[in-house]
Amino acid sequence: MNAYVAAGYVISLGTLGAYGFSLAIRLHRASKRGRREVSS
Amino acid sequence: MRRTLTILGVASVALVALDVILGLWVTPPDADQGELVRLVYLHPALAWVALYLAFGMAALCAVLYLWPRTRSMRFDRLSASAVEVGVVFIGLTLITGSIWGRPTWGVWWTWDARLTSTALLGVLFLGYLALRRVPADPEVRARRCAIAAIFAAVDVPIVHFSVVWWQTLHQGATVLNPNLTPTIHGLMAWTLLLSFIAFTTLFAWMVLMRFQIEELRESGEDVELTRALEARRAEGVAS
Amino acid sequence: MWRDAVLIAGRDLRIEARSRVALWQVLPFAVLTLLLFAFALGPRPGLLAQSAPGLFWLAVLFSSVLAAQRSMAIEGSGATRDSVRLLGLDPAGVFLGKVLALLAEMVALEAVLLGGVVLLFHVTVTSWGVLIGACLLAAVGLCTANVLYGSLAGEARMRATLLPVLVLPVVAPVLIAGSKAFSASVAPGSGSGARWLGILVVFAVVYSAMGVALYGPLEES
Repeated sequence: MNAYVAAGYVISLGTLGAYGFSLAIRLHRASKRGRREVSS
Repeated sequence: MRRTLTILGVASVALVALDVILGLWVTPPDADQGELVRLVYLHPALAWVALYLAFGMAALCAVLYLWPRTRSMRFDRLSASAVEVGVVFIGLTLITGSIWGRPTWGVWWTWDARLTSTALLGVLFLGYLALRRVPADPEVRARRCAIAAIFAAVDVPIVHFSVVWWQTLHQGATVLNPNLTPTIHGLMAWTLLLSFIAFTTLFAWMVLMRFQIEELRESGEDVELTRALEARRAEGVAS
Repeated sequence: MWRDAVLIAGRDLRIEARSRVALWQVLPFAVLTLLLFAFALGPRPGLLAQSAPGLFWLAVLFSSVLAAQRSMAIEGSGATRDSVRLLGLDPAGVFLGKVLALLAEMVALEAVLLGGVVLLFHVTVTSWGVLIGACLLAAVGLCTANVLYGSLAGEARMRATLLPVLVLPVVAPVLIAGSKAFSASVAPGSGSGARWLGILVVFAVVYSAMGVALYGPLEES
């Protein structure tokens, strides 16, 4: 595979994946905390 | 909301994966561009999301927030979420464009009108996010940010025209090959279309997640505040 | 509205006449940038004359941010806010007044910088009309954008660092159009400056209109 194409895909998908993952983690934490507070 | 998020998440991951598989392995190499054409299934879709979707959404939500009838903190949060996700996409647009430019034009960067205005737009986005970090009352911050988003939106056409004229008058012949995207047929066109759908879905999912985080944080702060107030009140009664 | 504007402009200029911040801090900075540009590019007169249009506008842009910081520092103090509110001044008038005062300072600053560029960088201007028109129009655009963003950037503590990040990308068209108009006025062969003056007019009109409409909600905070 062409190195430029590979670099483009790896960088884009890597960044989007990392960002999406961090969002999912943050959302998970926030909703866990929210539930705990509402139930207590 | 949870359901929508899950559906959007699964859909966007599946669509992007399909786009990558089709783009990298199934579609044929192009006659002019060879293997490099595979970047067409990535870069234009990223640019579409960053320049039109994210920015348009941020500006629209800012207007909806400022309009007294539709004023709601939800629009402020949506606008901020769109900008934050938009910054990620605009960064990737510039990076992938640069990676594409190097083998096609021989340089990583050229002062082409589109590149320059995209970069300026990215800086405007960053300014908006910087403004959001200034500590202020939520209402005040929401109003300031909405106004800033509208200022930026109004600035975009002026930037665009001045940069286009600046570039064309400066360089004469442009280095950008107008036939950069040659006519494409069949599977290639479908994959290109798919890439737009995939990244739009991904954008929607990310914005929704970001928005939900902000909502939960605000409501969490409210709960904490009421609890603290009740605790103080109980102390007052006890003494 | 205009009566309030004159009142505020008079107040700002009186404060400047007494404190001399623009005279002793902003103006020396502007002249200093010209010297620094010359140091950065080397003493070859040809190169300096060629880069003069862009360097002139960069110096104007940077100094305009400083002048705006000063102008908003006057507005930012609690007593000023209270008195403006107690007097029931029209926010659009306050905005125009601040722009007018800043405009007076900017035009003086541009005149000094222009003299500096002509003398130090050996620039020969052929059509003064285009150049002076560009200077005036750009000053209006810069002042309106700076006052608006100065108000947007909020409290003084953050404003010092936030204002340049917010306002400099926004005024990029002024830099482009101003430099091009300057180039056109230096070398008549390089095309007419009318198109660039047009951009400056649009910029000035758009930001003035938005300021009149939105300064009120901005300062409510």
